Formats: sequence, C-alpha cells, structure tokens
Amino acid sequence: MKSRFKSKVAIVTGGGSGIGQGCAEALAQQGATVVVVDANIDNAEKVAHSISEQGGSACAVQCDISNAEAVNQAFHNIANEHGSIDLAVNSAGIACPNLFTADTQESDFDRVIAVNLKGIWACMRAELQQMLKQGSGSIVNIASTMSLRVHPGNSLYVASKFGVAGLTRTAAVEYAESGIRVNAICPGSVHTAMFSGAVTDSKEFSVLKSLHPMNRLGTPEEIANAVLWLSSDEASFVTGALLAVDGGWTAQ
Amino acid sequence: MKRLQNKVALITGCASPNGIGFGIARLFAAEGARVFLADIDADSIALRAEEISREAQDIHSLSLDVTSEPAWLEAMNTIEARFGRLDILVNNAGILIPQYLQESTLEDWSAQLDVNLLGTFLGTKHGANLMRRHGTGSIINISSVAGLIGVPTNSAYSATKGGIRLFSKCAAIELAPAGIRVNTIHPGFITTDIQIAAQKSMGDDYQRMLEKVPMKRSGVVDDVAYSAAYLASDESNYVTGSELVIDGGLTAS
Repeated sequence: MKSRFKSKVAIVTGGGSGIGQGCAEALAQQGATVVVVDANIDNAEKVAHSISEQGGSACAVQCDISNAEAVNQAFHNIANEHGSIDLAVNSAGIACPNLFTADTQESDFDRVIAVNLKGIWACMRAELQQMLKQGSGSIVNIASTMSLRVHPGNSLYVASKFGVAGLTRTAAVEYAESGIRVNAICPGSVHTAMFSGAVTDSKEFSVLKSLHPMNRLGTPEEIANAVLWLSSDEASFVTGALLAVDGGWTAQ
Repeated sequence: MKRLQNKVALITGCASPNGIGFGIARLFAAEGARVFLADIDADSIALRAEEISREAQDIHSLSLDVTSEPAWLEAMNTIEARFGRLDILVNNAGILIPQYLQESTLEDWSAQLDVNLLGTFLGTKHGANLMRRHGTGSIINISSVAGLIGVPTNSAYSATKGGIRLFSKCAAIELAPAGIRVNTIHPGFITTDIQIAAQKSMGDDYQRMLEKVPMKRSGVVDDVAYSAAYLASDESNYVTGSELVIDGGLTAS
C-alpha cells in the first residue's frame, strides 16, 4: 500500500463498476479511504469488499445521483462519518440509445441528462459545500471525448458531456481562490460494462476502435492514473483543465 | 521502483537554473531516469548537469543548437552510442522576445520561430526516429497558454506556441502506430527568467493578465515538472495528442 493519499477521504460516484471502480481501487492503493457510491449497492459493496481484502480502506454507499436531495443526504452523512471529503471523483454516468436526433425520445433525454448532467451537478454542489468548509479539496469529473467532439447517434450523451465540461470550468474559476481545484478527464472509449452494453455490434466496435489513432480502447486503470495525478498535490496549479485520455482521438 | 526508472530522457533548454527545463531534468533524475540535459549554452549546461549529478546517476550534458539539423543528428548518435535508446524527449528550448506588433522586427520574429517551432519540429522528427526502433517513447513539447489564447506583446511567441500545439497533434496521430506518444504542456504564469522578462516589457498589461488567473498567483517550475513526469511515465500510456494546461485556471475562464 502506497501513501500518496494517506489520511485522505475520497468519494467515487459510479464506483461500483467500470472507470469508477478503477478509480476507487487506484485511490485505495495509494492510501485513501474510499467511499464507493453507486446506485447499485451490490456492485458498490463488491468493490469496497475487494479493496478491504487487499488491505485498503473502503465502504459502500447507495445513492441515485439524479436525486439531488438523496445526494445531499448521502454526502452529508459521509462527511459526518469520515470528517471530511478531500477528493471527489464523479464518474457515475450512463450511455444513451444509439439513435439519430430526430428519432430520440423525451424519456431518453430526461434520463441521460438526469444522471450525466444533473447528477454531476448535484454531486459537485454537495462536494463543494463540504470542501468550502474545509478550505480545500479536489474534484475530478469523468467527462468524455464527447465533451470535445461529437459522434453521430449520441446527441443526448454529447449534450450531457458538453454540459459537464461547462460545469467543470465554471466551478474551477469560481473556487480557484478557495483552495478547491475542479478538473475533468475526457476518456476515449474504455473497456467497461457500460461500453459493452452500448456497443454490441462488431462493426460499430471496429468503427469506434479506429477512431483512436492508437487503434485500441483504453482501460479503467489508464483513466485512473490520470485521476490520481489530477487529485494529487503534484497538480496543485491545475484547475479547470479538461484532460483527454483517449489514445489520440481528439487530436484529430 | 521509481516512476521513470532506467528510462533515457533528453530535455532541451536546461541552462537556466530557474527554468522549466532544469526543473524537469531535476525531477526526472529523482524519478530514476538517465537524463541528457541539452542547451546551446555549453558552459551553463555542464554546471546544471553537475548539480544534478550530486544526487543522481547517469546525468549527462549535451551541447545542442535545436535549430540545426546536423546538431540533432549528432545528438541522437551520441545518445544511441551511450544507451542504444531514447524513451523520453522534452522539447522545452524556447525564447520569448516580447514586443508590440508595430515595434517587432523580422529578425526577432525569425529567431522565435527558429528556436521554438523549428527546434520542436527537428527534435520530434529525429527523436521519433530513434524511439521508433524500440516501438515506444514519449515526446513532450512545451507549448504555453500563449498557444491557446492571445497575449499582448506575444504575437510571434504565440504563433510558435500555437504551431507547436497542432504540430504535436499531427505527430501524435502519425506516430501512434509506432508506439510513440506526443503531447503538449501549456504552462501559464510560472516563475522563471522568461516570465520576469515578460513582466518588465509588458508593464500594466502583465499585471492585468496575472489578475485574470483565477488562483490569483503564479505557479512554480515544479508544477510543470510534475505534469511532464506524468506524461513521460507509463501512467499516461493511453494519452497522446493531448494538451495539459498548468495555469491556475487562466484558460478555463
């Protein structure tokens, strides 16, 4: 167990699977106490349990982040129990059905925006309120290459992720003098359950893979490594950054 | 194991003891890299290498005019002869001649284009040729916030830094199949000799720009060095064609 984040309390939303899970495990390996927040409590508990088994410190909290009141309650309890929220990684997000804009449904719009945009806002608001009390903190939002570029059939996801970029930068500027840094990672396609669920067609998979000049997908660990750097004191002059971790996708 | 253990790194523009190049060299050495410090100023660079050698192994100085293609070829030969490989190249050498456009001269324009942009092109080209043989490598080109936004008195400098940004993205796409990553770092206000020169020439404009930094302060050389260490290490294996902004929030606002 390394000690880069010793005695730090970290919240990871969407920590029960995919990129969030990778971030939760990486933060725990570096000594942080990790609160794994997920709508699916079974997944969150599995991750927390596996971290504990490997000598790390973690617990699981169930929360639907699209419910701002539930987020407030859950984060308030976390701060009370652990004394602080030093690091936050807002990773919870969902994919959208692969449809061109004219064919999209209102219910899909509402669902994607509720989780990916309102959810991040609700978490950031609760985290910022606690971090302002502390006078310090770091927030890393998991945005997407879809915060910087578009992909046909993904207009709702793109809209939500452009919104996350806007929230990130605005909050970064607002709290730059309060000791709170706010940044985002923009991952390309990553090997996760969410990706496999959204991309089932092998032709679509090849198309997506070829959009990355490295001609491969990323791994949750590769995203987590960027999160570790942005969360650490090494990045103390970095705020409002959107860091692409995408095998070269957005360089094109 | 240290983050850059046994990697062979070349960093250009390391002569200034207060500069970003030397800061990166110091951190890379501390993280276990074998480092070549390069600069056109041979005397200063030998001193810098000696300073780092007190606490690290395998630190070398290399006299290099980044605007000369024969000099780059010779540098690559030297590194290949010594270690047989190059893992990390930081194209950091750069000059700033702050001038309002109306007072600027062709000579000063060309000098900045040569060191900053031509130097980065030659370094990336020849560095990649040596890296290619092992199918792995990380090239880090030091751009600037002036490569993202306009800055008064920085027109030539901004042209070079904006050029470095897109040049690096093209190189990243072309070199991805060869296993070579290319990224840029965009420092904002960092306490270095170049910044002190800019402060003198820009007067009130400088103060106005500094006040726009949301963190209301300058950064230090180590802030940039840490970002270079991340991009140089295997931690950033999926990062290429990316731009890392180290500016206290300046360009986010």
